[in-house]
Amino acid sequence: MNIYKKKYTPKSERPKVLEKKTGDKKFSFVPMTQNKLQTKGTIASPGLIHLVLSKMAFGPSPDDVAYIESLPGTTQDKVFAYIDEQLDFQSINDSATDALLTGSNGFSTLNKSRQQLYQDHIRRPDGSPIDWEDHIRPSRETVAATFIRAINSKRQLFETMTDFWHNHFSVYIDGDGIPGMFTHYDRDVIRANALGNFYDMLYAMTRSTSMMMYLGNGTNNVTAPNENFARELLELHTLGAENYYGHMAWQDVPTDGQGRRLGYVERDVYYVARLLTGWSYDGAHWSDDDGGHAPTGNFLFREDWHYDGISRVLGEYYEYDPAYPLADARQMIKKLAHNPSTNNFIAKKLCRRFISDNPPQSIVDQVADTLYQNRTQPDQIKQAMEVLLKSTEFLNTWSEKVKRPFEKSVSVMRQIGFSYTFNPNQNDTNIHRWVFSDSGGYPFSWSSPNGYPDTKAHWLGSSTQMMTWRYIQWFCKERNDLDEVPWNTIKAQTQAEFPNASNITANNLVNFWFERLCGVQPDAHTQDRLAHFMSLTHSDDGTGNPQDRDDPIDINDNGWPGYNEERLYALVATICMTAEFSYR
Amino acid sequence: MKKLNRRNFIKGTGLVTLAGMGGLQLGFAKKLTKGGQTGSDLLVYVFLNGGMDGLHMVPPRSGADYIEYRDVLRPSLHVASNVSLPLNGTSAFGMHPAAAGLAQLFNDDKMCIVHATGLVEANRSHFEATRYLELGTAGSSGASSGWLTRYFESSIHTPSNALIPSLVPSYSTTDAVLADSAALVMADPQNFGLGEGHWSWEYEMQATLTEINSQANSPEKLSAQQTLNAAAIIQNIDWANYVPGNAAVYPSSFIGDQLKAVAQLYKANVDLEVAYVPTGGWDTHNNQENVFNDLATDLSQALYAFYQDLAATHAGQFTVVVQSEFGRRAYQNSDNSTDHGYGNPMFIISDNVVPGFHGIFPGLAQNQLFEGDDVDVTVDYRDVVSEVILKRMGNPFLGHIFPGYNDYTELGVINGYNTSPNYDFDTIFKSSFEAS
Repeated sequence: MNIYKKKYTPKSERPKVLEKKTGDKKFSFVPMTQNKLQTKGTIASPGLIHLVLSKMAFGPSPDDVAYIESLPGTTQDKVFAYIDEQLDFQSINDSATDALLTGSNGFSTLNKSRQQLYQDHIRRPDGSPIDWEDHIRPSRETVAATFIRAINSKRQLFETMTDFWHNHFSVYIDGDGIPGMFTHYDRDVIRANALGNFYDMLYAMTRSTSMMMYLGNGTNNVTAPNENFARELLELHTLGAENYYGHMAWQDVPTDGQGRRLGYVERDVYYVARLLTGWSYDGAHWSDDDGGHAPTGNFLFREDWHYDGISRVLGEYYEYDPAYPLADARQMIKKLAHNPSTNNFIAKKLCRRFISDNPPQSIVDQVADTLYQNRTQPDQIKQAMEVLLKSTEFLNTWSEKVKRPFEKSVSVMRQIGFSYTFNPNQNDTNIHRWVFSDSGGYPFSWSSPNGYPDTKAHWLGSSTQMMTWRYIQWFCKERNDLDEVPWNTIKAQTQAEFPNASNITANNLVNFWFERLCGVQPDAHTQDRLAHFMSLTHSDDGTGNPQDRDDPIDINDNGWPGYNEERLYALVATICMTAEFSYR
Repeated sequence: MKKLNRRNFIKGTGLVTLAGMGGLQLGFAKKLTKGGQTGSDLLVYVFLNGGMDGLHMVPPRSGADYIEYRDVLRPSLHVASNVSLPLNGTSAFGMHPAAAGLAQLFNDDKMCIVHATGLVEANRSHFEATRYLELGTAGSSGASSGWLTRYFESSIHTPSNALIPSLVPSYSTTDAVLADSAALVMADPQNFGLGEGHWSWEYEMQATLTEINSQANSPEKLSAQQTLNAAAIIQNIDWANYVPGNAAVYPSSFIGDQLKAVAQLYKANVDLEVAYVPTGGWDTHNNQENVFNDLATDLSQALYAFYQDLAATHAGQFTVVVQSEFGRRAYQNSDNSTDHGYGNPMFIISDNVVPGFHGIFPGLAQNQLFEGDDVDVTVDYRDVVSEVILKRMGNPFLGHIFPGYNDYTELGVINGYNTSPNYDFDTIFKSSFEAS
């Protein structure tokens, strides 16, 4: 659902590469209503290293697998040591990834201050117009950086947590004004606190230009308060919809043992909206450039817009004091951050992201309790994640989740050694955007403030499946335009596994790649179909003329009609489209 | 959050007639000829995500409500009576000027408007209200299937070998079809296939993946199987050279693309029976005048084109229902825009509508507004949808489609089959289905 309008580009304005038709090939088909789930099979779990790298990271890259295997002790010792390292993310040297995010790869806005972003990409001090490409540049760079980090960063947990918080405090990157400021949001709100303290992140989010543009609080004036941000602050960011009691009297909301109200009613929305009147940014109002002032995009408190009476939120009272003009709203935000319902809500979402759609209450309670006990600690979220990642619920569950389009695509990229470096100056990076955006999972592009859904049912829709497959199909065969070298290490990984070329057969390729990509062996039917595919030689026009599945295939030969190298890439891509690959 | 039953405007306590299944439904099923004159309609359900401002789309135009609307509630936002478009047979309400196509359909007696509809229990959360509507479970979000899923479960006349019974022309799915693996979610039919690989292997990749998933022993494999089967059907249709009926022109907008895809798929004779069309952007807390103007233009042009297109070949055989999760606050906010509200109009577009306005507009005076804030709800939206389901789709099992619903009240918004509601689907069928 999109409560805000999604950007629309007519077909005629899309790049030609996408206009390629699916062709006139006819497939046989059966009616959709006739398909029924047959016997429910059991789903095999992969080894522990594959499992944790699929769940807490963006997939098991060969490098990370080899690194964990090199650690001392039992497999569980190795995995726990890896979890500890990942939690202590600042100690991980990630300079190789940082080096990719520089000018030579087309990045020029990632280090700009909030004011620089505003004055370079939203509104110039001299009033001169900003062209569209300049305006959206910070958003394009943030997305490219997000791909680069997810694929390459050694701080994988930090990246999956960043993804989690972006969906919790979701801002639609193409919303009005937002593309120019998105770098600030990603860097100073989300990444600055992704394993830090929840209140700090909540407070930074509330004051950010991007969120104020998105939910309209920049123009929230006491003359007629705008409830948009207040409602989502309660419903999506803190207490959660399950603690919404509608039009009930506030006194009837349940309390905990300490008398704290554990839910909210319409009257609370009313007062939170008033507490946040006047919380704005420089430039939000049309008169902000009066007298030659150059708006900065920085947080701005507008006292004359602020409600100066007494507010009551969750039964507690807040009074405006001109000596401490931000104190009333800040106290309210802190109370929301520390409310037990908020900690439960966040804990449940974390467990849903990392464990299962309906996580066991036992682990939710432990994570919530850790969040609550450490609510004033700077590493509150890190401590909660340690509990989560070392739980049996995390370490012993598999296939409770499916990878969402971004997770699935990046996982493929990590596993095939995808070496293309996203570059905001390059047309190839644009084509990634066009092909991938149809999956419905492009980063920061869920237009509603509730963030991308995090349950299986949403991501098993046919459009998402097909368009994600198409993206995988496309990039697995992509090559450098200049030298025709493929952007992957599939051949090198194959040759490392099979130093003796005579062992490179259809059967062995299928078994090796399926196990490497999915962490488990294929079932007999799947193995048979994939091996058949890999054995095709295309040396006639009818059957594809399959060769013996145990005969060697020269994967260095990429000539007509067999295109062996392309066939291997197509095999790998096809394996990445199976149900087994989709699990985490 | 629970409130007393507020459905007192139009609801009596009248006894519900439990028409036995009997010959009625079976007779109906026998009358059906796929695509023929006596079959069920194509139902197109357009959902306006975000909360469409009904007072802006269908503004008061005269009388006390107009004065209240113009002078008290929306001094800087209203659509003035000399700006809104006149609607046949009434001076009380007009149509937003950007929605000229909708005004035309209304004035041609092809569209009716139902006042003040909504959930029985007010909920100002987009996400909760939308979920209740998608699941068809007013006030409960725990259901494991959507209302359209249960519509098909109980639709006896839908052929068991229907190729593509339902379509969601969208990039992401909706809870309205939750747990219905036969629902096709597809935003872009022209690219719905594995056509981005190396040319020499594309065909076999799709074929191989189809074979792998032919034995579905997990929900993931089943949904993959459905996706690939749908792709095979979709690729047999010539999408690029479509010529709409009546020279209809779809606007260049997402809702235009969506409704065009519905029309194309319907005319391709693949047994399409229901299309659920989500379309967003209606959450106008800021800059409402401009945002709404664009949205209303796109929506109106697209619905008008869709009507023209299908009327050329399928007159009287399709019904469009337009709804949003709630209306907006009766009074404007500090950005001359509106926050979340409650009651809202619904539109029905069909050759079979009973023209004009239906339901009761509860009024805009302070004491008439819900909680002093919103247009009140006088019509349970399920009564509107149910009338279409009964009369145009011939499915009587309202209690299965809308769990807990047991007091259908006919509003008289549309003409069609004389089907009586049945609230007993589960006791009649469930056990025998499970046994078979």
